[in-house]
Amino acid sequence: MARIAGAAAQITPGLSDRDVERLVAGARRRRRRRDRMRRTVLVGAAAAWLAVTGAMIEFHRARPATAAKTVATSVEAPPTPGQRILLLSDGSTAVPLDPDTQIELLEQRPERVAVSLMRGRAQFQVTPQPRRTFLVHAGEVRVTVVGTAFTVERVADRVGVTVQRGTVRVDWDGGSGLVHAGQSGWYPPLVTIPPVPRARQHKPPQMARAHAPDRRP
Amino acid sequence: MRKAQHSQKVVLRLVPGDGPPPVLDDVYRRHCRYVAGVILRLHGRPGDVDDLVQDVFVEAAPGIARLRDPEVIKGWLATVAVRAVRRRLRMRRAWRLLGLDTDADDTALVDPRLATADRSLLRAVYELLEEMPVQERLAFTLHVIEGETLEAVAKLCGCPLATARRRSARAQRRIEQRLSHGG
Repeated sequence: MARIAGAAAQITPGLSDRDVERLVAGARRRRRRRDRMRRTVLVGAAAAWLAVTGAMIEFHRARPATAAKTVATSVEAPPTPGQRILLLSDGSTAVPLDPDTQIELLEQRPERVAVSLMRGRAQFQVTPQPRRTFLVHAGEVRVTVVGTAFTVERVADRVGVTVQRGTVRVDWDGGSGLVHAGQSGWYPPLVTIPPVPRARQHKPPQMARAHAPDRRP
Repeated sequence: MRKAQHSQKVVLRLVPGDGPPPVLDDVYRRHCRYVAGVILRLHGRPGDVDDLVQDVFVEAAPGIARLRDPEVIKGWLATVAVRAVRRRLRMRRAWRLLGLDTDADDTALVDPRLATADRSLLRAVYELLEEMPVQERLAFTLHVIEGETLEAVAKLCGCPLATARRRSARAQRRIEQRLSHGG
């Protein structure tokens, strides 16, 4: 091994001063080229990130509007000026009844439709489909229908349900109940009494009295 | 880096120092021949030295900017050179396995003015080094040809001391066996 080391000690590149300057200049050029490339990659990555973020924001902004169709249709209550009717693909509708009513379509699938009543009053006309569940979420109250026409109203933390046609089931934390055609109620109920018949159409449902009898039609 | 006369522990540490930062071109000029020599002996192909030297200077630039001590800068350049040669040797080995390594002539490596016996010996050694795993080749070259201690070899190769010792010993055994059989 000593002989190998001794012989290898004579392996030298033999660089002249000119060779050294050439290598120094070459290294300088490569450094500049690398710095330029890094800047280009960084700028490109930033631009791509901005483009993707912008596209995602735009997609999420547009999604609720594309989920529901807007059309003028014959409904029992005329639409409130400036409000849009929520028309679903099976013909079911949700009609805002107040200027500040806010409805949002949460889900629309063949077996399940879910709508959220964020604020105000809305009238729902649901096309009967036995295999499809239609849900209206209003705060902590959930209204489940199979095929019917009914009105849901939110006032503070209470939800009023009035059924014009068919039957709906109303669920709340700690209980549930059925509301039939011609009936209305406020939920969650303050006292455990059945819903009472409504007095007139399009009037807010009356508070049920504590001892009113069950008066189903 | 050549320490054939005495062992010395090489400490490679990026230490900020006083004074103005080194001008990179001046550092390159001061250490160019040294780096080129290390690369030539590790790599074994004169045709690649220019390219590797420039790569090493570019890669070492950020570290150099933080150093002041010339000996520490030299050690840092050696570390980067070993890294660059390792990458190049691995690539060459892969090309060779695919039958695409055409630049296999290393006669220019050996100075024609050397004694015939030494030239034959070096040619044989470098042919054997070409067949070896890259890690063993580097351990042997750094330890035997460059004269580094095994501790320094371990640091330069980024491996434990026992591994450096094992690799160098294995490479030496291979070379001794082949040379004694006239290979």
